[in-house]
Amino acid sequence: MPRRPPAEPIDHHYNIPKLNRVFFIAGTVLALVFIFMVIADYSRDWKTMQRSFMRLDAKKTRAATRAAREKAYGEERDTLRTDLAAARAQIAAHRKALSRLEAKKKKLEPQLYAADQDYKFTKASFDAERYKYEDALANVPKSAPSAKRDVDRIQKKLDDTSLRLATLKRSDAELDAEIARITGRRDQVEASVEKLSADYKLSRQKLGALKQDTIFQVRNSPILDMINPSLRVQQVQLPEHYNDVNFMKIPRVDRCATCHIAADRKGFEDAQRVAFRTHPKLNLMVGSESPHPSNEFGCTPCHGGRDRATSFWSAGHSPVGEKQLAVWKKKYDWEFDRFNETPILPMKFAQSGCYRCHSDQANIPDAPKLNAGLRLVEGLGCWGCHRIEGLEKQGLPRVGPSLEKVASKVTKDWTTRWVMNPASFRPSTKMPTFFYLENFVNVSGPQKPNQAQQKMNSTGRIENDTMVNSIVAYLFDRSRTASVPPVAGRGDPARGQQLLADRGCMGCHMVDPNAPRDLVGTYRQFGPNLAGVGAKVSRDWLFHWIKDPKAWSPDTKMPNVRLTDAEALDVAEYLTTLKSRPEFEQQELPRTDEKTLDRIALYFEMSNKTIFDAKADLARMDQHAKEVYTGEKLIAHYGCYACHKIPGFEDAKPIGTELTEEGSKAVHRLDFGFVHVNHTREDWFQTKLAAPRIFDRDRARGWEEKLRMPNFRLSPQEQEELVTVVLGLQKLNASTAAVKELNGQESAIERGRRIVKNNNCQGCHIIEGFGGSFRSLVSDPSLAPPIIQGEGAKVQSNWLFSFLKAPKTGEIRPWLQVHMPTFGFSERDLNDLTRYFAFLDRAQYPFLVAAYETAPARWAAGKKTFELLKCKQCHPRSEQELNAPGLDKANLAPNLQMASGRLRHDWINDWIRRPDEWMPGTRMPTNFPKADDGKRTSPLGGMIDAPAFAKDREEYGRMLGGDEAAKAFLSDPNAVTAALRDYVWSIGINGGTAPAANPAVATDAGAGESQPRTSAGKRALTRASASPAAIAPQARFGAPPLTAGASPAPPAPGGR
Amino acid sequence: MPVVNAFKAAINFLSAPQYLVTAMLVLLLVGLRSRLLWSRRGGLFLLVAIGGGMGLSYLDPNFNAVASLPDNVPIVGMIFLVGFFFWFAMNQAYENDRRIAAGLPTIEAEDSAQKVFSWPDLVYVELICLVVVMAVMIVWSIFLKAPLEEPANPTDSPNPAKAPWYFLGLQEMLVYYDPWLAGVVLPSLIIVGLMAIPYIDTNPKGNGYFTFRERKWEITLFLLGFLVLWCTLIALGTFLRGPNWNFFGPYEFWDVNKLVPLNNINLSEIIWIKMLKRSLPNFWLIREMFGLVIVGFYVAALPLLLSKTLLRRFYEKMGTPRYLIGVSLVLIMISLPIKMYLRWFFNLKYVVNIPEFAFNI
Repeated sequence: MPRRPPAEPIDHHYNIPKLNRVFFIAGTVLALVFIFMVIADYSRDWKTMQRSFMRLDAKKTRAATRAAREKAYGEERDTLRTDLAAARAQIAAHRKALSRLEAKKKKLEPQLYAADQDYKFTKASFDAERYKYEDALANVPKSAPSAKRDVDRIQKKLDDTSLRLATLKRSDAELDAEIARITGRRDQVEASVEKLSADYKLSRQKLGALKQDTIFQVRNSPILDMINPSLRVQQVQLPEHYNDVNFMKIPRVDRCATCHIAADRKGFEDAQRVAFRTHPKLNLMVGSESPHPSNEFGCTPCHGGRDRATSFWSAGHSPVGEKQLAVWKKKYDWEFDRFNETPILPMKFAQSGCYRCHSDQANIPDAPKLNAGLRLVEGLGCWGCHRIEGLEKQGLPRVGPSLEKVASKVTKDWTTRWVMNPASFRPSTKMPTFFYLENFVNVSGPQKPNQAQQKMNSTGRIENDTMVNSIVAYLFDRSRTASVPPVAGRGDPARGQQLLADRGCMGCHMVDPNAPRDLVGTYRQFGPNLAGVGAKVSRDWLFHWIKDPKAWSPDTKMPNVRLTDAEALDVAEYLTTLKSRPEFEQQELPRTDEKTLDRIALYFEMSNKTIFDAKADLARMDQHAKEVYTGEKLIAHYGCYACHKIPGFEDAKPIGTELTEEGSKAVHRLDFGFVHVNHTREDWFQTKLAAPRIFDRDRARGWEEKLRMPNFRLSPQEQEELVTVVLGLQKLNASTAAVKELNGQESAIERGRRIVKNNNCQGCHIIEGFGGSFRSLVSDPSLAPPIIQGEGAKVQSNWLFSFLKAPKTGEIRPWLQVHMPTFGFSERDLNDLTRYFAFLDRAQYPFLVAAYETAPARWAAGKKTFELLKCKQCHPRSEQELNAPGLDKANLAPNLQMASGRLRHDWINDWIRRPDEWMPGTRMPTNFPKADDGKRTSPLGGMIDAPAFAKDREEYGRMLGGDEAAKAFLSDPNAVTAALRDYVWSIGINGGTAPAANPAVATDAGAGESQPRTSAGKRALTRASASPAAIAPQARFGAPPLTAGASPAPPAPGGR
Repeated sequence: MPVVNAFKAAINFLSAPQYLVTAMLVLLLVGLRSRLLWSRRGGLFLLVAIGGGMGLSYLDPNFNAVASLPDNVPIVGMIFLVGFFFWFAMNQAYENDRRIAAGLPTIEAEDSAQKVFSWPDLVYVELICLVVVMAVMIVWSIFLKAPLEEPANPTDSPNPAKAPWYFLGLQEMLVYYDPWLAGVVLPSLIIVGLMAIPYIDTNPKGNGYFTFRERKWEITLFLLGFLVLWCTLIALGTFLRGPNWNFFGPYEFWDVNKLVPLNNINLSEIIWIKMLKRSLPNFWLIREMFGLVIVGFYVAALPLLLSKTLLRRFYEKMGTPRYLIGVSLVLIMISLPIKMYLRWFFNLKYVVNIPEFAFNI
């Protein structure tokens, strides 16, 4: 129906053509905006990244392709082609026969196909009929016979078809064999050519896939890319790690590999763009062979950051330093994301991520910065005020000395000056500075103080003066008196100095007045720097202390070095000569301001009393009593007891913020005060550590509200290491399955490592590849404390236990000046240590010792070899040999008299055979060098036919029953070392006398790794006695396997 | 520049809620009567003053940090949009008033003397609007990142915790009123009151055309509620309330550590302890009787009293039910600024405080 025109002409309110134009413009704008929206949505950073990575990958692949091509088209191919031509010519000669055979095969093929099909169909019918028969048997027995007939009929048919198929197959195989006889050579050569160019083909295929051609562009174009794009988000789901969103735990989905494509691929270590590089520690992280493969651990559980993010900014990348920040802002539009609570840890703190899971380990050697930080946390005693659950579980000893008897040890003036400024006495001290810090004496920071601030500063100084006096007053008032009986006579300071250097004191101490503190680079700051110690304590006290430190203070970590009285006196005499730095003595002693003291005391009194009672209480006190009272409260206020044992504070709680999850603390919970630094955790921690009272700047607080953390005088490097630790103290946010759970052996090893760390064993010994600071002071390595490597496999656990309990001077290495000190380990610690060393080398524990008997012949051969190889040059066998004139004691090797009580039987021959593997760099000569095939050879083997050796050979023949036996013996390294072992073993037991002839063990010459023979008649299951001297292998029992499976492997050099 | 700093300090001081709300009230009451302001020249002046002031303010880092947050940008837009439409309505109203006084038809009457079809005259324009708004919204959403915050954590609420912008007026009310009043009763009454307007205001004047002179009371009352008690409070909540819901001037740094004392006392304490020097009675009814009487007077007696005196004209015109409902609603609306002033100038916490029933006014 045609529209009727309006009854009357109707005007328009708007100018319609104009509206049309406006609509056209608006529509165009919307269309453009829509296109812009699609582009904005399509163009993601990660796509650009993937494209650019593809170009990089293509570049690398192209180079690889070129190399593969050269190989594929090299000389080898030319030879093969000649071969091929020859083979083809050969075939041409038999062309007629070949074509006949091929014609036959062609004819056979359809028959074979039909027969095969026939068989399969019949088989299917047979199965169906059989089912019918079975069904009849069970349900319709009447019809069973007829069903059976059907089955039989079809079975016969099946047999026929099957036979026919087999016949045809046989003919086919025969034909194939005949053809192959003609073409075999050609096929073989063709396969070789194929193989030669396989790499090249593969490379080219890969190169093709990396091409960004038209098909690639179409696949990845907007909208079409929903079908099957080649640029796509790469993600890995981590069910064991989750995001805690407060009401539920959401598994992490790491999409980092979307841009960091080569993180787990070798070959991109040197990529120019950092984002495309291979992970720098592929063997430890990310790599599929590493303990932290990317499909289980992803990236964000360690590095932090937003797991699902696919853009640079939203992932939470954190710049390091202003320069990087500026670059990022310009390049990536980076801005601070105030809503991201877990940004990626800045690269310099990347190792923080390890601690989340590895908090139960004493050392984390693969993360050196974190490890250094942990050493600082432990050494400086941060954990004393700030609870850290992981460390608390490990049980650390108090950092500072006990102050129970302080009055009998040092003077009041010294203590006062020390409390005021410990660093002025000893720059390397761990004791932090508590007083005269900026929030008391410089409240305005670097700015000029105004009048009110000036007043605050002077008040603060007076308050600090009074505080120092009060604290010292309390310590001396409560100090237990202990007598320090005077020592008669004088020592020789020069000898004392020599003894200090010789006996191993320098493993934990230094005497260097200007040494800066270094708790990480050296183990020699475990004990105090002894410079100036003469100004601190008296000669008498030093004498008693050195003689037996634990008698003065049972909790001290200082071991007993077992000095004689004379030696101790010499050392004490020498130490007394060490005077303190002048600036320490010049410090003016503070004066207690009575009004300030009253004010401080009143504050504490009023904590649980009314002002009237408090004032009345104070009125009853004299000034000393007030000081003592205030001192006690101030010790509680500043938490001195966190490091020192102080009477009256035995059960006091730590005063600091718990740090167990400090690294996950919301940034807005950190008080930045009026200080302008970036609002990030790491910046706050670093600022706080650099100047612990800085956040009081410009604040007008009373002394009781001011910050209390002391200043540890941390170097920038130390600050960084500590920040690494604190950032790492995070919520776990992972299921227990993700955390490495230590098994029994591993936790025993950790216990051992803890004891080693707590007692600074590494001050003298290199253990697990670390430590041995003392060794650098000794010019001749043979005079230094031994490297502890493979100890568990080497020594008997019983011996180790007794040795650690009560080491004796000069038993194993009598030439050593340095003493293994007596640590006074508890039995638990001793057991832990013995287990630690055994488990570390995967050695047997507990370790029982049997009686080892040897054939006299083998023993004699061993003795002969011992002499031939001149072993006694270094290993004295008796006192006479040890004290023989002309013997260079500095070049001696361990005393073999102890071998049977100390060493593991099977270890001895293993050691003799390959000392260079057990302990690289050992002075023990490698007598059994490796042959080209990697097997050890006997040094005597090569001499068998030498004329000079004839006499010896004859002698061996006599011992072993014939020349043939001697020859076999001499060229078998296992036999030779076993014989040596048997001889060495006998040295300790009976001084190296020949065993009685025992027919039962007469013919055991060849077995190097033989089981020890035991006399079945004498089975007495007794543990070897604890005293090393008494460890004669009397205990006999039924042939226990010494080392289950294989003998322990030598430790990897420098391994953990 | 000390001059600029002094100026900023003055603005900071004057934007405190008590001065800001007072200033807005005064400006509204004075401004509505100023003819000049609603002329084109006046509009231009307003635009330059507000736009220039805000534009210059962006040079201040503290102002910039707050005002350029993606979630605050719409409020900046709101200030200009509300301002424009307010000006436009008033401009037209004054023009019509002039015409009515001169006996001429209003602009709207002139314009719609003739009938037009809804298509294209209405729908086409709407379509164009739709297209333009969509284009603007798309561009906006691409360029201003919507902040996606971390998952909500009940143990760690953001500081300041702010309601969505359209509820910031209500949140500001929470400062002065007990939550059940500010959060439940008053919002309900706002909705009910808005629905009731057509039934209470039966004045046919102004239907289909802008006018001020013919609807002075209605327009003034509505604008009091909408501009001063709603939009102003939203802007205040957005730009001037920082951490801990403390007040911060527009050029002030949002310092988390800022402390403001909240030493407010109840009416019962003022009367019993300060004035009568006696301890507070234990029984709540006696203790709170002054407050209850005042509140009772305000909501029950005052409407009646007004009907005989000040608002007699309205009472007679509207009839009892309409008058009572209307006046009650207006009184309740006005109770908000009353309570605000009582808080600001007398530190009054509650007029009636009965913790026994968790009932506070």
